Parts: sequence; C-alpha cells; structure tokens
Amino acid sequence: MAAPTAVAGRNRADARAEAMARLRQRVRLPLVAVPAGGLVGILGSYLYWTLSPVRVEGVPLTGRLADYGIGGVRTWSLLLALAVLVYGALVLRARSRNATQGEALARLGIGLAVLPVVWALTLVMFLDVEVGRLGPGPWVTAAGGLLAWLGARGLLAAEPAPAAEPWARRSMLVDLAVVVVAELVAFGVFLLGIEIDDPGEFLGFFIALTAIAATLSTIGVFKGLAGPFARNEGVAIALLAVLLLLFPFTQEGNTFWIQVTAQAGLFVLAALGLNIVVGSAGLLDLGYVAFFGIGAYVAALTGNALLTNVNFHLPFLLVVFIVAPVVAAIFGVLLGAPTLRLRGDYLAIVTLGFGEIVRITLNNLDPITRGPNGISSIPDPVVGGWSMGEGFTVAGFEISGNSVYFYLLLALIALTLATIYRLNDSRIGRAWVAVREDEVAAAAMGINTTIIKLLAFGAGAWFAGMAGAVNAHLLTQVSPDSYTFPFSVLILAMVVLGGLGNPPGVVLGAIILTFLPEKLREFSDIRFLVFGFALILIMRFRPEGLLPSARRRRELHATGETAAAESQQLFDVRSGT
Amino acid sequence: MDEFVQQLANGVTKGSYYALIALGYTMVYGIIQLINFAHGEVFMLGAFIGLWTFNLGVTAFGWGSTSLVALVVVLLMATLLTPLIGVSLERFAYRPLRNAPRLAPLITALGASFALQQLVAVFYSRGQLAFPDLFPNTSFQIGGANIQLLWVFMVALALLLTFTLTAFIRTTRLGKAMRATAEDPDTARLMGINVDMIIALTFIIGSALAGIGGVLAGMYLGQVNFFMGFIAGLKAFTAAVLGGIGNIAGAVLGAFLLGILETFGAAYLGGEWQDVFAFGVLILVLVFRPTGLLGERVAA
Repeated sequence: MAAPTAVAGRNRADARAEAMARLRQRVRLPLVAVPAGGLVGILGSYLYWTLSPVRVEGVPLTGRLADYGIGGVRTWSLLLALAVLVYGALVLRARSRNATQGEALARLGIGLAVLPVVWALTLVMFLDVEVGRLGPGPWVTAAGGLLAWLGARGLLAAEPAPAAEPWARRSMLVDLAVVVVAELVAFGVFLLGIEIDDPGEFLGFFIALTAIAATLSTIGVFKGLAGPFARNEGVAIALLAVLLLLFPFTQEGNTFWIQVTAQAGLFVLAALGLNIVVGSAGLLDLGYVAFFGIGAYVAALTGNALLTNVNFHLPFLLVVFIVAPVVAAIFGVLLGAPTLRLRGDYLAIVTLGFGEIVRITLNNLDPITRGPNGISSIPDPVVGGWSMGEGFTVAGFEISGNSVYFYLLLALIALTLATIYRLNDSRIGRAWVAVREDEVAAAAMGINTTIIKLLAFGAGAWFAGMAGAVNAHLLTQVSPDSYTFPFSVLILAMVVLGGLGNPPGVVLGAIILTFLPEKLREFSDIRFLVFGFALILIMRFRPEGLLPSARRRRELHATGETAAAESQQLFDVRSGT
Repeated sequence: MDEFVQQLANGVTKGSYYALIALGYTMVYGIIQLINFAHGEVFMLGAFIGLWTFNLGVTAFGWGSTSLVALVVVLLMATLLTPLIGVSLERFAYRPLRNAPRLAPLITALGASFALQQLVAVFYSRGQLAFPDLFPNTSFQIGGANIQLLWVFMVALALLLTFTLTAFIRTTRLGKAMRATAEDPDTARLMGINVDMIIALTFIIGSALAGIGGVLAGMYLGQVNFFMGFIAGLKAFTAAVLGGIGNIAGAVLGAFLLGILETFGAAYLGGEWQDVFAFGVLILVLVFRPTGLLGERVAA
C-alpha cells in the first residue's frame, strides 16, 4: 500500500492543518497574554496548594504547601512561570518575532498548565487526597499556563525562524566554556533530581525539566551545542568521565542512589545491545531478556553462590568478559540461525516465544537451576584475592562496594560504547544499516544478509550476557521470575524512548526509565500502565525518540514528495523475503 | 483409551476458544499485515466484561449461576462491548501509523497490549477472580471419558461462528469488499470501497469473536485474571500461523490442532512444559513451513 494511501494520508494531514489554522485565527489572544500568564503562574505558585498538610507514608509533602509561599512542588511551577514571564516579555519586546518563538512559548505554557494538574491528579488518585483539600494554588497556576499557551498560539501564524545551526566557533575559550558549563549544568540537574525525595515535588521537577528541555530544543540550543561539543570532543568526554567518577562522592555515604545508578548502568548496557539488533539491523527482538537471563545464570552458576546445585567456579573477569557473553551469543546465534529468514513481524513473535521458552526452562530444570527458587547468596566478585564488595580506600576516601559496581559498569559501558561506535563505522555496521533499509538491495550489493543478521543477533546477545553476569552479582540472586516478557518490553521502551539507532539517545532512555520508576515508587502500581501508553504516544508523536540519530530524523520528518516516497522505501522491512 | 479420549476432548475444547481468538489475528493480519498484539487483551477484556455483566445482573436481577438468561446476556454484552475496544485500538493506535515504518505499529501494538492489561489490573483487579458457572453443570460419558456439556457447547459455538463468518465473507457484499481490501487495498479504494471502514469492520468482527472466546474461556477455566490474554493470545497467534496466517479455515484447524497437541504434550511430558511445547511448535512451523498447513490464503 504505497502511493495512494500516502497521498490520502497527506490530504488528511493538510485538512487537519487547515482546521488548526482556522481555530488559531479564532482563539487568538494578544501576545501580552504570555507574560500575563507568567504573572498569574507566579501568583498561583505563591498561593497555598493544599488546605491542610499532606503526608505520604507519614512523611509530610515538603514545602509547607498549606501556607502562602514557595517550596516543594511550587519551586518548580514558580521556575516555569518565571521562564514564561521573562521569555514572553523578551519576545514581546523583540523587534521581529517568529513562529518558532511562539512554539517555544507554547511549550513552556503547556508545561505550566500541566504541572499543577498532574500533581493534583496524582494526589487525588494515588495518595487519597480529596479534591476539596486542594487549595487554589494549582488551579490559578494552571490557568496562568493556559493563558500563556493561548497567547503564544497567536504567534504560530508567523513565519518560522530559519532552522537552527550548530554554533560557529567564536574562540577556543568560549567553546570550552560552553562545553564545561553545559556538562556541569546537566550533572547538577541530575544530582538535584536525586536529591528530591518527595514524589509530588519530583513530579513537578520532572515536568518543569521536560518543558524547559522541549523549549530549549525548539529554539535550537541543543542543535547549537552540537557545534562546541563536536570541536572539543576529547575535553567533553574527559570532563564527563571525571564528573561520573566523582559521582559516588556526592552521595555522602548514602549508597542507595549509587546502587540505583549502577542498576541504570546495567540497563544502559542491555539497551545498547538491543539497540544493535533493533536500531542498527532493524530486527525486532522481543525475547531479549532471555540473553540477559542466560548471562545472569552463567555468572550465578560459576560464581560460588551459597545456594546452588552446581559447584563449579570460574574467575569473575573471565565470566564477565568471555564466558557469559559467549554463552549468550551462542544462544543468540542458535535462535537466529533458523529464524532470521523470517519476515520482521514473525521474527518478533518467534523471539518472544524463545524468551518464554528460556524462562520456563530455567524454571523447570531443577537439578541445575533450582527451579523457581533460583540461585541466591551469590557473593561479590573476587578479583585477585580482593572482594569487590569490600570497596577500597583512596587517599583517605572510602569507596563502598556499591561504588565499585558503579565504576565497573562505567568501564563496561565505556568499552561497549567504543566497540559500538567502531562497529557502526565498520563494514559490518554499514551492512546492518543496509540490511535494515532494504534487504534485497543489500543482498544485491553482495552482502551476505543471513550472516550479517546473525552477527547483529550475536552482538546484541553478547552485551546482554555481559550485563546479566554483573546483574547476578549486584542483586546477589537470580530467579526465572526476574527475566519475564515485561522486562524485554522495558528495555525496548528504553531504546525507543531514547532514539532507535542512536547510542547516546539509548543511554539517556535507559537512565530516564530506571530513575523515574525509582523516584515515583509511590505510584509503582501504574508503572507498566504508563509504559504502555508511553510506547503508544511516542510512536504516534515522536517516533524518532528523544535524541534521534540524524538519519532517522531525516527519514521520519521528510517533506515533499520524493522524500516521502524515499522514506517509504527505506523503512519497509517487509521488502525482505 | 479412556485417558486418550479424555485428553482429546480437553484439547478440542481448548482449541475452540483458541480458534475464536485466532480468527481475529488472522483476519487483521490478512488485511493490514499487522500482528495485533493487543488482540489477546481483547479476549481477556471479553472475559472481564462477562464477569462484570454477571455481577451486575446478580445485584440488579438476582441472577444465580447456571442461568441461561444470564449466559445469553453475558455473551451478548461481551459481543457488543469488545468491538468498541477493537475499533478504538484501530482508530487511535494503528490507523495513524498505517504509512509509518513497519516497526512502529508493532511497537504500538505492544504498548496497547500492556496498557489494556494494566488498565484492568489497576482499575479492576490484580487477583485471580472466580468466573461463575453459567452453563448447566452436566456431563456424560463417551468411551469412558467424562465430557461436560459446556465443552460441547463451546465447540459447537466456535464452529457455528466460523461457518457464519465464512459464509459472510464468501457471499455478502461487505465480505467481498473485505476480500478485495485484503488482496490490494489501493485498488480496492479505486473501486469505490471504503477501505478504512472495511478495516474497522475487520477489527469489529475479530474483537467480537475474541470477546465471546473470553467468556467461554472464563467458564471453561473457572477463573480469570488480567494477564490471561497474553499467553492465550500468543497461542492463538501460533494457531493462526500453524494453519496459515490470513486463512480462516487454517486458523480454526490450527487452533484445534494446537489445543490437542498441547493437551497431549502436557499429559505425557508434564504440565510445566505445556507452554514450551506450544512455542516450540510455533518456531518449528515458522522455520519449516512458514506459510502454515493450509497456506497463506487471504480471507476465506
């Protein structure tokens, strides 16, 4: 169903755009509504948000929400309202205005409107706060956001600004300063996010952050940053490494978030591996967790666990770098060899079935895997007589066992990223892309598509096996229940959210989807519900993910006839056998 | 021998509700080449709608179990409400992506499956809920095996619906339009067929069948839970592939075969390997005969 449906789709899109334009004409407030909305938002943030203090598990929501003033969630609505006021006033006073500014303002406005509403809904739905106990603050703030949004929409009819370009080089020093400041800000925001304990406040923080990031992206700041970063890659990576190495010291002996970060590192590893299969080679693998599980069981069986049926020990480094990845990759190839000639969607089902088979087998092979009980009391890895769980001391600084895992994962991720970038630039990496785009053409160019797809499967499984092996030691136990289908979907969601095919995006996706559920534990009931809807919404509105690869962005936002036709072809996985 | 007949009867009964789910998979795949992952969830929702209707009837009209009125109303409600879910899925999740890369609707379908499961889990119940015996609880003996009347009813209903569906697709104008759309949507559109409407109709019919299947499965298993649709859906998909996806007779044949194979596999290899068995069949079929037993013949 190529051309006619595409044309029909475009006509519909045109009709919708026209209808939107008409609507815009009708509800068109003067631009002054934007800073006015900001002022209302500031007022709303200072009003009281609840009539009496709210406690979550006995801990009061921070920021004395029952008084006038700020603090807690109101800090973040105030921040957004200030951004609306300042940026709105700047645009109002500017000599020439464009639609891009309107869009940026609209995003800030939506953020300001959504923040208090989501916060209120969450309190009402999950913390059993009656609607009557909410103060006027959230509603006034939301009204301000709405006002700003409506005002910003008037600008959308103007000409859009020219597409943003990476910032040109002014001087060495400016470039360096930009890189350093950007990284410090990002790191600071991360630490701040960890610092916020109160779930209501975190929600506000997260929404404000999202709105501000969306705004910065609209006005081209991220695109601009690409310039200085590209010119100072070495410095950027070195600084990032230093900041990450320093991260455990910012936690003042509290190891919980270090452990969560280590867990995030595991997900990053696994997601990077899945990204090779789904992102680079375009093969949807829904049983990916099986390879993770296999790696974990290999490490558990050879890791000197207390409660195990197998007493066979191998050195940890050998297991992590060789045995677990190799075993997982062998299974990957075993699964891939017969099935890779299947069409894309059949492959998805077969891999799903394979994932279930592995889980059920682990569950039933009592003599080796101890069945549903799993293998537990897996000790910390010992390297050359030193147990990683003990930690170590450097220049008077205690480094805890959790931090050691964190560092280990940092190293593994760095290694993996280096490998992946080298792979993507190699013959194999190009062949993956070629196979993804058009298998027949790739085969005609002399690529052995079966071998290439097998390599993708094997490589993906390799990194999953590696991550699984560390996971077994980090959690000190493995059981079949940990490696179920939702886990596969979670990793897939990380890849899709971050940006299919783009390693930095995948890293970001994995970090967000590890920390968010951890931060919003109070609402863990609806975690998978949110994941489900998030997958639908991302595919609908931002299929390229948060940080898309350049190629995919071009494909998904191609304009004009030729580009549309081209992207049709490029993507049709069906054109395989 | 008794044992054999007993297992056969069990397998055929299981096959009857697999068949009702598989029909939806196969029709949707036949028309838009999409594996509707959320279809198993429609089946699960059918069971929950049945349970909800029954509970409503108990409070409003004092229904007891084994009431035929209740059975008919419950089946009707499931038939009428599940298409709403199917059509909303199509309208809001799949239709906007019809021209998107192939991976996109697949991931959306996965998300929809998750979302529907969790909607039930969060807003209805996470537990195992008992499903009432709506059908008279009588049984009889054949060849030393104990056969429940419910089982006969299930198989008969599944076959009846299949024949009705086949007749509908073969003889009516709408059926013809469906076949045309499955063959080539663009040409069908040029011939004046409202392709969007036909696709929606496919989802309506598929969902209604799955909804009925859900009620039947609820009665057969005696309990329902929010994740029952996942495995059942996978198995129905296996059945559809086994018979030849896109092929209605194939889906039903595949479902009964899979039901029987699975029951015997469980009986002789041990119940804990039952699911491995089903997925093993899927992989073997896809590897050695990806077009299925009856071949990929689109609709009818």
